[in-house]
Amino acid sequence: MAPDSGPFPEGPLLKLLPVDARDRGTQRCRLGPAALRALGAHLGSAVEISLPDGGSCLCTAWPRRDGADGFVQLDPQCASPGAAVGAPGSRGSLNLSRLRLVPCPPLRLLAVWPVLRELAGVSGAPNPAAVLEAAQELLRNRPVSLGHVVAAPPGAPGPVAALHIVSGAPNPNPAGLVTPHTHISLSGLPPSEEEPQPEVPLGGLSEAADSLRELLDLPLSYPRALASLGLEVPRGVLLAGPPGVGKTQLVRAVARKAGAELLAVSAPSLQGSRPGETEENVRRVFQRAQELASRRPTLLFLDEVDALCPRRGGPHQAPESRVVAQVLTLLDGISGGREVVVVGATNRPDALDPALRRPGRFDREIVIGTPTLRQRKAILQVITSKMPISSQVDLSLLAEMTVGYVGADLTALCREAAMHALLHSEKNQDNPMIDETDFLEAFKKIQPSSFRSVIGLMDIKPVGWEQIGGLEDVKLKLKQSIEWPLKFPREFVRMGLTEPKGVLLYGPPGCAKTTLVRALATSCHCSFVSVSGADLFSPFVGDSEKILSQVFRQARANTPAIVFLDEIDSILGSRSISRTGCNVQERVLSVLLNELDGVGLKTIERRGSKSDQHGKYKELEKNEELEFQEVFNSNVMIVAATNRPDVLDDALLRPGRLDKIIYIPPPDEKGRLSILKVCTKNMPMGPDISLENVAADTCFFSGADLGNLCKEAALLALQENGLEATTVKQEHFLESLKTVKPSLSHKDLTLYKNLFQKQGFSNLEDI
Amino acid sequence: MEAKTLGSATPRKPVLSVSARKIKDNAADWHNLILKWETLNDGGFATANNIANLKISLLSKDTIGLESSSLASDENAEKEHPEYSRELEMLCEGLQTTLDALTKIQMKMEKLSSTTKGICELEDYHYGEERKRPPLFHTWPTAYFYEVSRKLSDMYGRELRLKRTVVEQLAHTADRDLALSYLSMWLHQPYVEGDSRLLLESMLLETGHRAL
Amino acid sequence: MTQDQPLLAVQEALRKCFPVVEEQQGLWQSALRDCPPLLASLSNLAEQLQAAQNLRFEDVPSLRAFPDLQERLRRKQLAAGDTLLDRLGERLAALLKVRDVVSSHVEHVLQVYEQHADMISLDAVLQASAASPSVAEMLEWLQDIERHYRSLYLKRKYLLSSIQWGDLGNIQALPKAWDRISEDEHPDLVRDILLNVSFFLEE
Repeated sequence: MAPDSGPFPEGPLLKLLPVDARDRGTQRCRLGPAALRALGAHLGSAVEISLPDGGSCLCTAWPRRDGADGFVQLDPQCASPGAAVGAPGSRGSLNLSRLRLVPCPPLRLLAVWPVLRELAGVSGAPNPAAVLEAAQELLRNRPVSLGHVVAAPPGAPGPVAALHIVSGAPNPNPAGLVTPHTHISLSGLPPSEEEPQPEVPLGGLSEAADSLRELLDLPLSYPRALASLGLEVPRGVLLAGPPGVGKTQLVRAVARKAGAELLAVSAPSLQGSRPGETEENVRRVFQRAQELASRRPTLLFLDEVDALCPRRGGPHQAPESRVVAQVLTLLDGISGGREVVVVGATNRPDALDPALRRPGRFDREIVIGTPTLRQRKAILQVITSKMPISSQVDLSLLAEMTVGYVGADLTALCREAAMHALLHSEKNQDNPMIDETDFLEAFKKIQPSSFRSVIGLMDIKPVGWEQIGGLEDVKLKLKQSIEWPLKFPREFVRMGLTEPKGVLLYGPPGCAKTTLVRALATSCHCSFVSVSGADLFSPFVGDSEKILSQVFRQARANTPAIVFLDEIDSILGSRSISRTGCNVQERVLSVLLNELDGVGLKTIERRGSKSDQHGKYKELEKNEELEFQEVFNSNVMIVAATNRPDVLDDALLRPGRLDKIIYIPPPDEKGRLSILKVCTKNMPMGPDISLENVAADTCFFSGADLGNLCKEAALLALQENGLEATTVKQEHFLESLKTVKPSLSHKDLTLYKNLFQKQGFSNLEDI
Repeated sequence: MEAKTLGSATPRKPVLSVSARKIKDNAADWHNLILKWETLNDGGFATANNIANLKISLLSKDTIGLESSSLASDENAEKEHPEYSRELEMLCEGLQTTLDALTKIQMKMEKLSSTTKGICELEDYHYGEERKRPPLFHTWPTAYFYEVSRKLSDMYGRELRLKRTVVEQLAHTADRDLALSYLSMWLHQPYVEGDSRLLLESMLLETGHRAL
Repeated sequence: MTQDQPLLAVQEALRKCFPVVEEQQGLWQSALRDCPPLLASLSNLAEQLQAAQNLRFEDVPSLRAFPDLQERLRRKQLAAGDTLLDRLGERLAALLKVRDVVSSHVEHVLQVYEQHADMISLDAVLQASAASPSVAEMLEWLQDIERHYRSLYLKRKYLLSSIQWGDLGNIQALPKAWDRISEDEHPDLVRDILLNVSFFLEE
């Protein structure tokens, strides 16, 4: 075993092997004899090793048992914080030049900062004497280095998990030996902690964040004041809101900001298969929170808490109710003065057991709805703050367009836009700019998640106002009652106008009611939900009502929204007319009445911040435009269409519900002309055609009839001239006029016209 | 020191020396009785332990038997049962014997206290109301011997009552916790208070059985 | 020859140290042997306490005549427990003494080596023969032994200091936890090392 005594080449590579089991916790560094010789080390000399990942550790040099060269094994018990040596499976090599023999004088004084272990079952901080004793025991006869962390071996008991070497005399830099005579003291202050992770700013959640932070901060900042007031600080918060609005994000950010320990647990992961396992897991989590709380305020975050605590009392739910009872007990127990705040998050607060939602358990409920316009803008600002956005992108406009998008959707949208920019701008690969078109492109791909399961959501084919011929006054009225409140909120507020709730369009069939609504939805950016009888009817009792109210709930979550009830007479009917006692239509009607004009919103549907709702006029100076829009954006507008207004229930037609009733008359001559123009826009017209004449001849023709007429004429032209027909001539029109009959009659029209005037709706026609 | 006081007491008051001797004997008897009690207590505990174990195993057998006997194997249980109950009976008899012995000891203790009481009365008779009478030994007035005897006797009396209850109930307990508690009661003798040891030792010290 | 002098000094110190370790190991073992019965009693007592706690004395008809029984019984049981703890404490003190004696001897040997370290060549330290292990190995073993005692003592001490009468389940599990400590570390570490050096000591 005579090691070759030749001079070592500069820095031979040593293979880094995992440390032997029996060397664990010894702080030894096993080297071959050649390496020991090269270092000039004695047995047990202190060696500083700079690790490949930038950290370093301090070891004592010992020869390898087998005397083989070219290997190194480290027990990194005293290492710079965060240094990872010998992580399982990490096979690497180490240059000998990274090893350095360091002088290791005995220390007189040493100050350490202990990292305490959370001891199961032991409450409160362990007493300093015990900590000191454990520290002495841990440091005994060890070389240590300033700034390093001495970790307790994994299996060792005791209150100390690790010790940060804070200072010493003589200064243990690069190393110093702790002897039995070294006076060890505990330092109260942690050594300058590593930079906290960069804060993720939260867009638009400031109020929720504030109220959460208050809970965490209050008992810390004013313990005496609270005690003298005899106050018990609320200890539980329930966050409710649809998925993706940032509940989890909010909790993380708040915990980070308040410097609190965050114990985030996803409730479903606590479920165990064995009976009693779930309860045990829950208990363990709460206990751990209490342990953490003995050192600093702790936030226990139960995500998806509804999975853990479903409403009790249902059939075959004995295990669940045991878990609920366990959680309740623990929540009650946790109010024992320790700094644990329990935050539950759910998107189905109604599914929670009601016993959870009382003061003392979840004292406060913070509802985070889908973001409002202003919140969306804030979120977009946050997300795009790190993106190269071209100056043309108008975030306000984007916010306006992203109705119903939650934070996660907006993130996805921006990501998609960025991807698009990256893929499609070959010109400047190096510094891609995201511009408006990228966002518009991304729009097509990203659907708001809260809208993904909405019933009757329509992808409307855009229709411009100009594509509807005639009906100028009706268009004006529609714009006035629906588009204006959205576009000119300032004027509405100034005039003290409240926004209309709903509009009923009635008129003979085929007069473009549906097309008008489509144009409406196109012109104002809002969610458009169309509900027809087919969506609603179901063989199950109560199902129809449920679906309808769900439609409204989802629409409210995505305001501004238009709910379009086509052929409303078939959906609802009238209570006064129907003879049978209680049929589906009647119940659906009552649901609709409630939704239109109920007492208020369910609490879980609250959106935006309260200050928005109460103090909306005070903040007018800043960001005026958005403020106004917020006011008017918070509502769902109903647009109903029917051609049998006479069978509708009276209650539906009073102001406050469908308060604007617009008669859509059959087109007059001028209207017919413009309809014809629209219909024949794409037809090759013969030069002899006089649309004016056709218009004059088509009395009682509805818009649909006119369209049909044009089609007939074109077909006729094809029929006559074969497939080579190039133009449609006047004679074709005249010919087809003979076959196409108007669908309206004078009698019908007078009926419509007089319907509401008789009943005293005198303002029907004047604007 | 002991010899000195005894020596000085004897010639001076021949009548009282009889009382002193009697009290000294009583103290020695106390010591012996308590020692015997402890021995019996230990033996009794072993028996009681066996009874409890047997009882508990019997109980678990019963429940198992109930489950398995639903088919047809009742004979098994019947075969085993008499054997067990015979053993149980024997153990119970043993415990009863121990209890009887303990009862005898307690009766002797009672007798000791009444003797001490007699001595006290005799003393009273001799000295009448005279307040100043010299202590028999070192410091204790005579009445105090009676007081201590009474206390000890009461303690053991109550303990005996408890033990009787335990003997009566132990073999009939179906509850494991209760059986264990009975055993614990027997072992730890809750009515023999911690100061009994102190009282006895100080009495022995006072009467000169223990050297200072 | 002068080169050998320091090495011989170290070897001499080692020769003195190992017998001490052997003797102390005997003391350690005997102190340890006393503990399991005590721990068993303690665990038994915890079971009794638990049983009495589970019981509602006022519901047992035959015990109604003894109104203060539960309190008295508990007091007696706790007193018995304290006695047991005191006796365990004595054993622990014996273990501590072993630990400190071993520590001081090992420290002395290492000091001797430190003093002569510069004069002893690496080869000499690593030199092992059939009869005797190398000095490096023996020094290492001494360190191991010292750490072994220290860690075992510490674990036992923490275990005993975790005893609280409020946590009866923990006390009932004590004997197992105690045994686990012995099993966790190399139970035969000291014996094996002593076997390894037996020839060296006889030399």
